[in-house]
Order: sequence, then C-alpha cells, then structure tokens
Amino acid sequence: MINCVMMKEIFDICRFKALAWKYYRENMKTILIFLGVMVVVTFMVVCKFNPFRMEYTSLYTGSNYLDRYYGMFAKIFWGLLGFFLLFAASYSFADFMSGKKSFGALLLPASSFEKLLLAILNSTVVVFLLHVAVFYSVAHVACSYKYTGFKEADKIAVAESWSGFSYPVLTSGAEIVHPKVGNVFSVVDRFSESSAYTREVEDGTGVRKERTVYFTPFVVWNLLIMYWLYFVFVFMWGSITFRKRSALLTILVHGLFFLFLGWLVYRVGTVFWKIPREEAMLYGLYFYNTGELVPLSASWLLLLYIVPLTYVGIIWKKLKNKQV
Amino acid sequence: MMIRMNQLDFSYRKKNVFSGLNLTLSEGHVYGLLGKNGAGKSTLLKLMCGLLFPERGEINVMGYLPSARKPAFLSELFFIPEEIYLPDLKMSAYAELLRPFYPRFDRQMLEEYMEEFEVSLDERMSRMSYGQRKKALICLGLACNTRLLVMDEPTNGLDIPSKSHFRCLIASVATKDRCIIISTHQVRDLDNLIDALVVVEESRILVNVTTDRITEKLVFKNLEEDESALFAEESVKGRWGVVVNENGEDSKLDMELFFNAVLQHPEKIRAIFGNDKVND
Repeated sequence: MINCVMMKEIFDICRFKALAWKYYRENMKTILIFLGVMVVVTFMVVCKFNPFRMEYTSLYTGSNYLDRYYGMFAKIFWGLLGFFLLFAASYSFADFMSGKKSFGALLLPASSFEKLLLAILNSTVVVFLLHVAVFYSVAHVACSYKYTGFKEADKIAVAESWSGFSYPVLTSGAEIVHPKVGNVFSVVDRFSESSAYTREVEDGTGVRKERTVYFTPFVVWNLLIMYWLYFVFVFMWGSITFRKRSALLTILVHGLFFLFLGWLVYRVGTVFWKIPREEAMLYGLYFYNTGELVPLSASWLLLLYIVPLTYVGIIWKKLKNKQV
Repeated sequence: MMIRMNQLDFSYRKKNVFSGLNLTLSEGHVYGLLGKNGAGKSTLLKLMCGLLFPERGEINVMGYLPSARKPAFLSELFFIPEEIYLPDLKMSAYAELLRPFYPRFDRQMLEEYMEEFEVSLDERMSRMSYGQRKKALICLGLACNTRLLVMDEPTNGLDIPSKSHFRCLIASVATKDRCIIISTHQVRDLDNLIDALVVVEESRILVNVTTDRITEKLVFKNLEEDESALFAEESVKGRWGVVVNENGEDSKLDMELFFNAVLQHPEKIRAIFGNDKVND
C-alpha cells in the first residue's frame, strides 16, 4: 500500500495525461508554428537537393538514378530530423528557465519524473512522428509536382524559381519520371550491408589471417537509436542548464569536451598502453578468434547506452534541484 | 502548525539573506508579511513554496519538505507571484486544464469570484490588462481551495474598487484549516483583512504576532505634544503615534505606524510582545 502511494507520487497515469493535455493546449500556437516551419524547411530542402537537378543528373545515368535519389532522400530525412530535434530539445525546458513561467512550471502539481518524461517524449517520439508525417507528405507533393527525369543533359532546361532555386524543366522528348521517396529507414539495412570489411590480424598463435566483420541490422538500429537519444539528451541538458542561447552553448561546451577527450585518449593510448594505436581502437577488440564472416558483437552496445542514460539522470537531478 | 522554519540560512551568492531564521505560521490565519525593499519577503515566500532551497536548517510545510516538490504538497499550495504569466487561452479553458491537479477545485466559486471582480471567463487572457490578469489569477488561486495560499504583492496593478473586492474575497475564504500569506509594500491594502503580522528585517523575523495582540499591547492615537511614543508622525489632525497600551485602551491598528515603530525600536517591540509571539 505504501509502495503504491509512493509510486503515485512519482508517476500517476491520470496526472500525466492531464499534464500532457495542459502542455499541448497551452503551447498549441508554438506547436503549429513549429509544424509550419517543418513543412516550409522540408519543402525547400527537398526542392534544393532534389535528385533531378542539373548538377546531379550529369553525374549518373540509367539505373543509378534510383539509388542516387533514394540516398538523397534518406540523407535529407535524417539530416532534417537532427535539425528539428536540436530545436525541440533545446526548448524542452524553456518554461522552467523563463522567469515568469518558471513559477507555474515548477509548482504545477505533477512529479519531476512526469515533467521530465513529457519533455523526453516531446523531444523524441512526438518530433519524430511529426517529422515522418511532414517529410513523406511534403516530399510526395514536391516529387509529384514538376520533377522530370532525363537521360541526356541537352534535353533539359533549367529554370529559376521565385525562391532562387533552379529546377529542371521538361523539354520535348524527355521522359517524365516522378522520383519516389522510398523507405528512408532501409538506410539501416544498406549501412549494414555496406559495412563489411576485411583486414589482416594476428591470432593467438602468431598466424596472420584475414577476418571480415560487418554490422548486423540489429547493431545498426541500436547505434542509430543510441545516437539519436544521445543527441536529444545533450540538447535537453543544455535547455535545463543555460537560460539563453542554450543550443549554441551546448555545442560549444560539448565541442570543447570532445576535443579534450580526444586529446586525452590519444595521450593515454600512446603513452601508457604501449600498443599500436590501430589495435587500441574499440572495434579492434572484436577481430580476434572469430570466423571468416562474423557479425560485429552487439554486447558492448548495452554499455554504450549508459551514456544517454547518464544524461537523463543528470537532467532529472537538475530538474528536481531547479530553483527560481 | 502549517509552516515551521527552524534555524534557516539562505543567501544569494554573496548576499546573506537569512541566518538562523525561525518562523512558525498556523492554519486559520491571514498573515500579512511586511518588510522594507530587499528585506527578503519574496525570498521567504519562495522558500515556503519550494522555489528556493535553504542552505542550512529545516522547513516543514503541511508535513512536507517543500524542496521535494511532491505532487501531494503542490496540490495543497497555490502561489501568486508578483510577476505573473498566464497562457494565451480563455480563463474558462485554463481553469479546466488546472482542475485535475487541484482536488478541491470549485468551478462555481471561480465563476462567482470572476463576476465579483468583473472579469470575463470567456475573454482570452492575452487580451486582458495587467490588472485583469492579476484578478483572474487571484480568482483561480481562491477557487483551487488549497490549504496554503501564498500571494506576493497581489494588489499591485489593482484599481481601488478591485482592492476592496480583494479584501472581501480573502475575508470570505479564510477558514480554520487554511493559511493565507500576503506579502505587500502597501500596508493599507491589508486593512481589516489580516489577523496576524510578520515583519522581516535584517535577515530575521522581528515580529510574528496577531493583530488582536498588537492592539492589546499598543495603542494608536493622537498624542499630546510632549507625549513620548514608540513612533509618531505629524498629520493634519495633529501628532499621530503609537504608544504602549498601559491603560487597556481600545484603538484601531494602524499598520503603517506599527511597521515604522517596529523598524525604529525593534528591541522595545520584542520586549513588549515577550516570548510567546515574537520570534527571533
């Protein structure tokens, strides 16, 4: 009974639903503006980097078209996701950092865990789902509008749009092809397939052998999710740490931190370990005593999840200790 | 006891605000919190609400540690800050959003209070004037029916009739199980409203006493020219001052006069009110 009461102090589903509804209702205008920005930016980027632009079409022909424009859309999708996540995460605790709003945000009768959970869900799941919906809708509209395919450069003309972007115009005899966005998530399988590589290593008996390793889709998915969470939590940390210019300061602080970390690893690796630097790299640990074609072990991924989870812990602590 | 602070230390970076502060406030009272600018009134309120954490000492509010900000504690507390923020919604919609968080929220009371203050429930709050928004938030705070209602300069921005309505409303909601704390510079706004006074000065509580006790021990009256007083000032009606009530005279509490007397003769006032009501 006591545990149940204590649990309700930390998380109560009814209270969480009320908190989420209050948040969305109060911030509806901001959310709609953000959605509008997502639509406009996605449309402009899709138009800017559409695969049928003059400069791209001269580089590849025939069946390569499909791969090229698939890869282009996948890059646009993941790049834009990062861009939007950066903004969403950087503003996730804006209410707690603003003078007037912070009283209401901190004293609203919900637990710190519920407030944190809502911020995390908004910055990860909600932004992601919005982006998927916006990207596929906008890219589909953009692609079915006026993009045309062509196999020879002399069959196309390039026109300037009102926004300053150039786009190809169909000329007589050219074939109309509407690009298809495709499944941007298949980047995982493609990355997994293309990640296989071979290198020569020495086994325990001193015999040098060739070993091939590759990332399984499971490993790639985990890496992707982990990197995604890490990216979001870093900017959420910035949001609860810096009152102003949180995105900029977060990038600066982490840039300096990683420079220092890189320098430290280099110094420690070369001075103390006394082994070739190449062998000291993390993936090097998985080449020994394996077969000819070996998927890269996923066990260390669990360890790497500690990094984003540590950030969540720090954010929660900062939120609990937040004062006005 | 509703609020108990024991040996509390608090400072902002280099400025010491409270050192070894003790304070006890009970339910069933409307407290007026007075003090000069920068004395620490707002800081004290924020410490009670869990918006600031003490460096040392204990705070217990309704049996909770405010800094833990547990939902059960927060649902029994409503804080109206000096600088307010309200979202761009109609008051009726905003009230519905807050209702699930306050178990004793009363919509009908809210409507009555809003009517009293002549503020529409269906007007978007972003279009309201500062005074109207303040009134709307006061109504909301009262309708939430929390055991502890804390207000920092609630009458700032209110017009004269609204100040009168404010006093009526507060008087009507003061109940035995509720504690209302009002911090203000404008002591006249608290006339006939509060029943206890807390004066903060120089990192400590100079006075924590009921108004009945004040008028029992002190008398506020026109003074003879050579009559000595704890504090006196010239007015159009003559010399108006506060003196020790040695003959059991009845008088009406003049809070401004009392406040000035406390600031001018803190030790005398402490001696007058003895150990039972005056805290360090």
